[in-house]
Amino acid sequence: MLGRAAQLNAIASVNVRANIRAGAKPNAGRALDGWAVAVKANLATDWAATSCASRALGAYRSPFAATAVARLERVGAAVVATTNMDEFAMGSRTAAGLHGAAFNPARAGHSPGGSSGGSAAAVAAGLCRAALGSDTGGSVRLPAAWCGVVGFKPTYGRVSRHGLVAYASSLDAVGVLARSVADARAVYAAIAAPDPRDMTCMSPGLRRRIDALAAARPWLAAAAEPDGRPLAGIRIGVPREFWVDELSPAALDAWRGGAARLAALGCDVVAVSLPSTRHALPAYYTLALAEASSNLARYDGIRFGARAPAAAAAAVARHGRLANASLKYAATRSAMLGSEVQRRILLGTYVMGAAAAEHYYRPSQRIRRLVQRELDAVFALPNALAASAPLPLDARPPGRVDALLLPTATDTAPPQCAPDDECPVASYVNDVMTVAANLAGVPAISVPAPPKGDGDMPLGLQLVAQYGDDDLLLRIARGLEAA
Amino acid sequence: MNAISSRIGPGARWLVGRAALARQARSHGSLPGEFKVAIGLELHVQLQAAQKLFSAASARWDDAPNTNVSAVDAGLPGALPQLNPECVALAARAVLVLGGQVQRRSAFDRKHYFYADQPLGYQITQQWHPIGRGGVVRLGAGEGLPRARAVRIRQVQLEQDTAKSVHGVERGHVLVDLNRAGVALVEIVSEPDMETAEEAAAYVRKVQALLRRAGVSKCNMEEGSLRCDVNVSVGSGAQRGARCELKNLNSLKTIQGAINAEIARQAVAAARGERPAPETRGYDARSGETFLLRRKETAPDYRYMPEPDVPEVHVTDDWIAHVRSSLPETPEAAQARLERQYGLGREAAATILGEPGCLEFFEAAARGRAARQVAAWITSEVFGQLAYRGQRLADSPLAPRQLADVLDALGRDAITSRQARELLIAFMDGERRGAAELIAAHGWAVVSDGAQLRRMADRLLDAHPKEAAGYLRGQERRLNFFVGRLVQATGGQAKPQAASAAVREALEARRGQA
Repeated sequence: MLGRAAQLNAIASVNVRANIRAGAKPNAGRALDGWAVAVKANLATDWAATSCASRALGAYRSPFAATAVARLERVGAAVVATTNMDEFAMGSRTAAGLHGAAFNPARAGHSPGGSSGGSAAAVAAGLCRAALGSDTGGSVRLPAAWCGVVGFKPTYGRVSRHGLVAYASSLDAVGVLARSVADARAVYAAIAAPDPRDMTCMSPGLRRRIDALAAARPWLAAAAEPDGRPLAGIRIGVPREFWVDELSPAALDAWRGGAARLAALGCDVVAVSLPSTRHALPAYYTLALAEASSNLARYDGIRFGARAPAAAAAAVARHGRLANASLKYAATRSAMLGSEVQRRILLGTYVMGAAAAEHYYRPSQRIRRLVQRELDAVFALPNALAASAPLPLDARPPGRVDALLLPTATDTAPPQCAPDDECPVASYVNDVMTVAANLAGVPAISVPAPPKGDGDMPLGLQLVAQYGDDDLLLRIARGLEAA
Repeated sequence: MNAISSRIGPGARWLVGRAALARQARSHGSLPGEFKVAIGLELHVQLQAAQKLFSAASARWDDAPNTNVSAVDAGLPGALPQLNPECVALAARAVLVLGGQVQRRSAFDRKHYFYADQPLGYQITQQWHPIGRGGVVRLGAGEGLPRARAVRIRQVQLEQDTAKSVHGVERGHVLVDLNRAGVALVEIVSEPDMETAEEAAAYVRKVQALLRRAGVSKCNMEEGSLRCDVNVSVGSGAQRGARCELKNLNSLKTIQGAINAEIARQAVAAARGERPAPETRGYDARSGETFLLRRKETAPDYRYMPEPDVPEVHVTDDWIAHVRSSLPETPEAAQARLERQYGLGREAAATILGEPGCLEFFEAAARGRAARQVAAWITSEVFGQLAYRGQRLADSPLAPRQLADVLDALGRDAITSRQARELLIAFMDGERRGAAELIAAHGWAVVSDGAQLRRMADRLLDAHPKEAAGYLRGQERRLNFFVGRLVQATGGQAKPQAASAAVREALEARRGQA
């Protein structure tokens, strides 16, 4: 087991005490008693470095634990390890962070995906029962799909971000990786709660409003007919704009299979259109990188984290005229942040600049709202955040759907990059399937597609639902997984 | 053309040298020629909230360095801001007391720059959706200005203070104190509606008084709870002036000096037909000149971005009405009321309103008393003592009750006005015993008992029969001899009129016997 773990390089640090506890005290009555759970290395724990797989935070110990981590422990889970990731969650390969490349348990030498690749690989390899990840543009769902496990990104604000090291605050969500939808649901139930330490975490009042809206759907009450069709009454939309050139035959096949299985479970499967999809990816990267450049400005080595030696500042001084403090910052940030992180900070800085914001940042904000509006127009459930309080509906409006079905990734996991190999654009394109859910803040889940034959690499099917409709999403996912 | 720029002949401007212009600007705050001065102020005011804007750490920035610092204030990874509702309420008070509109919807933005006193790499502020818009500060004779001036407020925004950089304590190092990082400020941005340094100073004093009275801020420039940036532009003829920003002006004197120096500098340039570039400048009080800090081309790009960690702030009309109802009356209303209700003169009323806490002090002391006398004692005796001690009324131990007791004793003729003044000084020194006890302890009680004085006068007449006989023979001046002796005999505790009456009574009684 340990040898296997070392091969995968899924783990950043191990909590020995928690491992002993997990083995010693199963089933004491709390929801997650006896569960061994791992958390991504960008979630603060009270026992490990919150490294974010970065030299800048390699030895950084947080004085507080993340709310999600604390809530897991409160219901009995043993947080046994922190997991490998792309540096500051920037990437989709888990290839080149402080802890080195992680590998996919499904096939030697292949990437587990990213950025929560360590969490996905650890769950897939059975190193833990479930794991937490973070999902900014698909970082939970993509590795889940590639490693053959369930990956759930709840609605933005369901789970507190307190203690999650920010990449892009308006898109970041704590997500769950598990071997089954039921397990993912159990972990989600433990961590989804209001938290005053995160102002963007849903208030109890908003949660109640969503519940009331979600309960007032008579067409869902008619579901679960006695003829064994557990998802009868639910309508699934297949968005045609995701049928992109990059989609591999295997992924297309899995998509078709998923639609057929949902139909067999009683769902009404219809085609829908989301015309803004093609703009979503560039808008996503513009906004995510802009926020990243802001959120990562604090890693200057002054108050915490690693600082470059004075000699490095002197070296930077030869490059140009910088104030004394700026020299120190530049030296630390050049030495301690990896090349992909530096690239994204520079791009993000550029798109927010006075000259460029008109052409990049602000249009991207408009596209984001467009994506949200298109999803609101497609889902039957009203968006609880809409300005006017929506009225409960007697019947599902014509043409509206309860959830969307689409592939999680365009293809199966690629071979892991060589340490110095950089292919940033290729890895950005992979996010085309997943970013819309983050832009709109809606819940999405990746469920493993059934393999066609022995030795096939895993593929994921993605379900997306309206803002706040996490419970329905999990119900459909469970049906899809069992079929 | 406005009052300050009286027109002179077009040819004459070439004769006006730089030094003369600067001198004139300094001494009169005005300029010759067709110059049009526009001055706008940005005031940064620390709110009197117990905790910081986005963290539960204490807002006491002058505690031991780096003791009031939470994870958010230090920018620790994973820590998120939590908006303090007390700060929102105080900012709303500031907006209302300046006559502006509290916005039902406001939002925070990030303003980015790297500096050691900026732990997050950005300041959370309100660039696009401030909590307050509009408002006006009226200046005029009450503020010592020759003409009325309405200064419009553009916006009031809620934002974080920076940490404090401490230079020169440790060689080769700049020390950073995070206590101040994240303390709540409001930035009050005026329109460029002022034309002289005196108006700018009057504006600062008026805003100070308004915010202090409303309990928004201590507005103390020495301790930095009020800081000021000034924009000055001097236009010439049809040409609009370039806007130059003067930074770090931390006293009223510096503000006025810097404005006058900058007006002179820009006017000289304009007179030469040059157009000064928009730039940021500092002020050297010793040389009395402004100097370049940074040009516009090198101005930082702050890359403003909506703050994703803090949701928009939505307030209801009811909430705004609630805040409004808890505000003190406006100075104009209070001034009118003092004149009407208590019959005070304009100047006395203005003096009382100019001192924080004095209106309440006056009203408490004046209840059931001669209000004008109370006001006179406050504005002359009490303020005189405060000035002598370099103290503010709010910091003095003197209570309204104590002043009232002193004036009551004086009114009863129990003490003389010199003794009343001594009592007042004792109370302002922190004396805790009551007025009656002090009067008794000093043996100050005025001898006004007519019977006692009469007895004393009789004894005097017995002791000096020659002088008494003289009076009875018609020597009127003998009366003064006895009055002087009697006052002396009481140790100065008898009033001369009372003593004179007693002596005359005793003498006339003897006339009958003789």
